[in-house]
Amino acid sequence: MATIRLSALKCGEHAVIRGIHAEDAIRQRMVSMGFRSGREASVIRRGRLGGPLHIRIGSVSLVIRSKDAEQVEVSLMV
Amino acid sequence: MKRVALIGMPNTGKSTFFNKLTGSSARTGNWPGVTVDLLAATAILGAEAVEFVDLPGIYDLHGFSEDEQVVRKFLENNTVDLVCLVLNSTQLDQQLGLAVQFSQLGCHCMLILNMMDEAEQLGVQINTESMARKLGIPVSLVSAKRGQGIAAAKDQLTQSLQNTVPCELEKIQSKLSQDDSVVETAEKLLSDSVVLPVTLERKTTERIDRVLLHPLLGLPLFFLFMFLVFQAIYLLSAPVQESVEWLLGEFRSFALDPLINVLPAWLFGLLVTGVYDGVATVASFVPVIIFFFFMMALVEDSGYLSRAAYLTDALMARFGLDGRGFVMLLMGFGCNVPALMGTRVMRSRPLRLLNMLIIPFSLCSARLQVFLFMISALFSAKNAPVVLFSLYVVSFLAAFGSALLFRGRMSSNEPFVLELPPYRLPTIRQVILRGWQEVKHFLKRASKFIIIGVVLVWFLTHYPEATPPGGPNSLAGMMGDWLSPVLNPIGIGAQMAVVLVFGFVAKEIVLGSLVAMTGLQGAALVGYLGTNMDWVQAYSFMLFVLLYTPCLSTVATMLNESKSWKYTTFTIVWSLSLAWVASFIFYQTARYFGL
Repeated sequence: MATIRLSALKCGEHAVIRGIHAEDAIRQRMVSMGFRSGREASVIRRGRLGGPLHIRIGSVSLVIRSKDAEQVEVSLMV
Repeated sequence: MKRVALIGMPNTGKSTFFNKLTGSSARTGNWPGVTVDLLAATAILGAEAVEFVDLPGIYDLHGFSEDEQVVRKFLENNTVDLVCLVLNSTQLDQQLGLAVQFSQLGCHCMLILNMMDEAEQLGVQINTESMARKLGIPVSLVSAKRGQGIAAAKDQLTQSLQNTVPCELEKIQSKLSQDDSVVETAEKLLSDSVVLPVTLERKTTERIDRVLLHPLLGLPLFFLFMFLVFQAIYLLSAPVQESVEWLLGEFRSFALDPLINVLPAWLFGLLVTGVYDGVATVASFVPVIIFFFFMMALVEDSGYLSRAAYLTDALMARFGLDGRGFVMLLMGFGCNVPALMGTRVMRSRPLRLLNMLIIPFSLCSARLQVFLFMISALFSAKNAPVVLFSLYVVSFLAAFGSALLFRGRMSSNEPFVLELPPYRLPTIRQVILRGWQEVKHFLKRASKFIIIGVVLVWFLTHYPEATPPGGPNSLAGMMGDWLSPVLNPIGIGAQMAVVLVFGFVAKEIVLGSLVAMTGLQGAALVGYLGTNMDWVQAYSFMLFVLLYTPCLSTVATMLNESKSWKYTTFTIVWSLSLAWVASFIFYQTARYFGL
């Protein structure tokens, strides 16, 4: 299945997390904040002027910079 | 005395639970192996006094952030009878992994699932018995905010403490299993013991966010709110401030003035016109500071501060900072010290150092007190708000300008990921308790510095010759003379120069030392300043006070947090030079145009 990056999602789109492409310390940090393979993430809104993404993973509502969201590999759900 | 370590993720209401258990008796203290101060308090459980230590919020025992290291080092260097882990019932899908990690450590643990009221509302069902059995740890459901389940949790704590032996943990990281297997165990535990509703959306929070995080309206609304908060602080505190001033004045004329017949003149001068008047002048500003901290506690507990970080991040990114940095700057308006300590959530050292460089430019409550007084002395009521506003603008300019200059040397690749908690209405008790802790902290620091400072200033201005106080023949006058080549070009006279020197210790002393030096107070001091300075000199003085080193506590915190003399010295030199240059440019330009 074709995967894209979390940063490419549009508002309201849902996707399943497939992996995080970052160095160990950063990856581990993101995993403990809820970015785990197999979990569903959706984009609620995107900030203006390249501002961060507001996303939801399960029960947690998070803000992530699009630069960092580029590290998260997801597959789009339809 | 038995000791319980309170541990949990950020945003779990851990501190609320801590306060609920222990009342407001908390004090900060030092602990072996840990370089930061931690809150500790005792509570009576059963028939025993038990000590609770509130550790910083962590996501993961494995983690590398400073807070995570603090928790590990604390557990490795202090004996603990019980670890009390606090998790958020509404986010167990994210948080159970931490409970699994603690169950593997081999020390006595107990699990508190907080915010049970919110979990119920959302339709989350938790089978605590099954969870306790599978984890091998007792589990209690509570709502620390509403006080639900607290009694039962206390019973459980008492019971757990009865059959524990103090445990010393070593090499925590080697005891934990691989992250993947922790995740797997946690997911299994979740599906066995917790029923999550299909959707965990919070309708109200979503609806409020649609307005407050609106792409166009969000930022203007944020600035509007901040403006209203500051307005509310002054509106609310002004009448209280006047009554405090009146009370302190009455006390002096009834109780202290008669002492002039009893005490030798020099002692009366030192105690009454020195210490009492100095402290009274500062004390009259305490209401503003109390309201300030209450308002900040309200904004912080409502969940809006993380939204502020979201809204400002795009802007902050241009300065090499992130949204959290903006929130720290805002906190700095209360007091720079907690704001500096707040940068611990940033893991990248360069990013922390950049934030710590700019936080001292935040116009803190101690400086505000000086400005309010000087502005009332030298500017008309019509101009006063504009002058104060301009100082806030300068404060931001200095902070962002410094960030722009140094972002190249202090850049980071830390990911910016932040949780947005749901909006919550803080209870009045919660706000008052949190605000009170900050106020207590402020008063403790202020009273220590003010009394010592005021006595010293009084001595310097009255010896060896006191006519007039602080005149050319006193020690202070000589000090002023000596500094005049540096301070004359920015319009600061010998007397004010001494005040600046003491202001380095703490801005809380500035007013007190003016009082001790002139022997004048209230309206008389206002009149004195009005005749001895013009507005250009006053504004130049305020610019200098705004930008140079805020206080010794800030310097000490800076050193403690950065662990680097070189960096700390650099920040002092940078802020001193910036202060002088800004005042010089302002003063000389104004004089050039004949103002």
